[in-house]
Amino acid sequence: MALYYKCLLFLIPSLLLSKSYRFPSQLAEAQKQTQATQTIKSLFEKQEYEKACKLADKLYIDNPYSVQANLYQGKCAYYKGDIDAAMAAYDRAEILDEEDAFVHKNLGDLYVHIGNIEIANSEYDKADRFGKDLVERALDSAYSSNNFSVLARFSGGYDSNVKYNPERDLNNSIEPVSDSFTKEYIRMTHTYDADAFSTFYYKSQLHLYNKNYSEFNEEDFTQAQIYSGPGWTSKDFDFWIPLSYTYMATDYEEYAAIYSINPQVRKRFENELLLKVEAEYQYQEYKQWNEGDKDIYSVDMSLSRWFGRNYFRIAYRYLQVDKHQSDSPRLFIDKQSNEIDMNYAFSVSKAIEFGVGYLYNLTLYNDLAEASLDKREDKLQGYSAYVSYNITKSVGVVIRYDKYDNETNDMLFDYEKELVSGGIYFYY
Amino acid sequence: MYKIILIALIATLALADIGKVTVVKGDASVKRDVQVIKAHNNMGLLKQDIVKTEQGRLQMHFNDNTVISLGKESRFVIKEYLYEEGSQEVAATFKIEKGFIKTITGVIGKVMPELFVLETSNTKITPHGTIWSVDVNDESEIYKVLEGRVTLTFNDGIDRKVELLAGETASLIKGSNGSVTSFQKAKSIESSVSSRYEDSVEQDGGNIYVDKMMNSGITVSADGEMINDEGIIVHDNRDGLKNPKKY
Repeated sequence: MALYYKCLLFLIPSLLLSKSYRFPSQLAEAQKQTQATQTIKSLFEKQEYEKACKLADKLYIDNPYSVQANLYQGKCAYYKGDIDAAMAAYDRAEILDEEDAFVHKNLGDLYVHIGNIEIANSEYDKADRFGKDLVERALDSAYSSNNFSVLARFSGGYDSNVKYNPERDLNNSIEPVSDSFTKEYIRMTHTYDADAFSTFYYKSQLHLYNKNYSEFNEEDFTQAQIYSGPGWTSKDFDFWIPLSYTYMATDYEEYAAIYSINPQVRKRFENELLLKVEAEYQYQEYKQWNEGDKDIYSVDMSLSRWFGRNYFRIAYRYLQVDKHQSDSPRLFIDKQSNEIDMNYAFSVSKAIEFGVGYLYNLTLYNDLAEASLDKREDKLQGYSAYVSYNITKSVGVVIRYDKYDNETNDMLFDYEKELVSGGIYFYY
Repeated sequence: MYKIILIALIATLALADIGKVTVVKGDASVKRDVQVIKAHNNMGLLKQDIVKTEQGRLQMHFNDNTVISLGKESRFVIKEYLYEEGSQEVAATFKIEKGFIKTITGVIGKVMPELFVLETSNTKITPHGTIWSVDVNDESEIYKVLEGRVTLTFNDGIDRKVELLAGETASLIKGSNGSVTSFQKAKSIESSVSSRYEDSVEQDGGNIYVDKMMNSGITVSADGEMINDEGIIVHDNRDGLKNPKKY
């Protein structure tokens, strides 16, 4: 008998101290909680939020330190639009069990809702890590170190002087003729930016361009261009050094490859003035034409700034083109040009903008002008105007007018040219 | 008798809870005067309490609905707290000495943000109806704004403010003596990509011009202000200047 009591005295405290042991009333409470949780879950699935939240409130009052109770408290606040209460409840649930995948999934959804994709993804990552299966993310375009963008532009227009080419030396046989054209342009950009706090990034771009005239094919043109290189950026400067390769086809018969390096710097000053400086070296190699290869050096500088709705820009460009083969007999390759470009734009509203531009370019060739002892000298003036309308943030339309007037001491190259075009563009 | 009641009333008010620990898990304590009390669920909080977590975490709910969650190995000081519903005399001054804190602004921060201050050893943070977090250690302080915006001022005596908007992060790096050696906003995804000026050149029927997206984007000025620059830079050139098509 004494042994029986001793055993009993040992057994009772053991049971009491055992974590797995539960009194019948505790078990009943746990079962009740599980049942309530399942009912709430089922009501949420049926989108009966009001009923679900009434039960969730009761569950929380009865079990304030239950992960599930806090989680559903948060979900109800979320559906009622009370972000603060939802965040507080999810945080409590996360404190109670930081390895609950469902808590992190809901936190991720909440961060997506308030637009913080980076943190949302870190919560989804935790949900994936702690859960059995991968969770469904509320936003597919999740933050990552790899960012993509696409610009596409489709347009058509009218060219008053389609056959004229200022670099061609046979213009004397060409009468001005007009034609209509269509153009397609697509630019795809990939930026790799592993560390948000470092200045380093790596950017690559692919440009595809095609232009077709209705009647004449001399000016038909197709080009694929790849830029790729490292960059460094901070809040007020950006420095990118891409190398590029271009393959171009003119009227689908003549082909050229261009190799270039194009370092470019942008600096934003405290007064919001933007300075941009670019330098470029290109080697242009023709596939069909002997002795036509070129070395091209250029420098671009521009200053621009918005004053309220008014935008001003002034730019200067210097360009020098040299024959790659210095003994080439071809004319009008070697040249130097200086150019000034001025632009003004006015933002009528968030969607509508118009702008005008003026360009002056003076080009000196190393070859003599026709029937002259002087070297050829071209003075080109360009006038432009456009109106653009952004239908949405990513889609817009633009109508544009351009006029060019080239005055030269070589009558073969004296020309005027007008262009009217309209198009639509997409940006994503 | 009247005086005794008055003293008792004042003493009661002075010792009234200003909030409570809504939930705690793991090791956490509250230092109150010379006492160190183990933190527990539903525990009342008083002004001047120092809340410390070891391997535990907890959440506090203050009377104005400010919710503060503390991460592991954190030390949080309630320096000043005054709030009574309907009263204009309100104030909240907290300090995070180390560790992680996430704050959901309550009535004080929403209605009178200038009277709500969260201090670190190097900065003072004023929220403007927001959810934000700070992670403080010996080497750095990382600020993240999840919703709304906060204003940071620095304790170095120089009068400057930095505003952080939703989605923005900033890091402050400390030197060996605790002073600020650098402070920078992280590149948020939006600003970093678009501020790189998605340059491209389009040949446009005898012209080459920089497309509309070239000069668009958001940059951050030196004083931390976000600048949206969506201007069209038109860069007209005739054929043969930038991409000579023919010899």
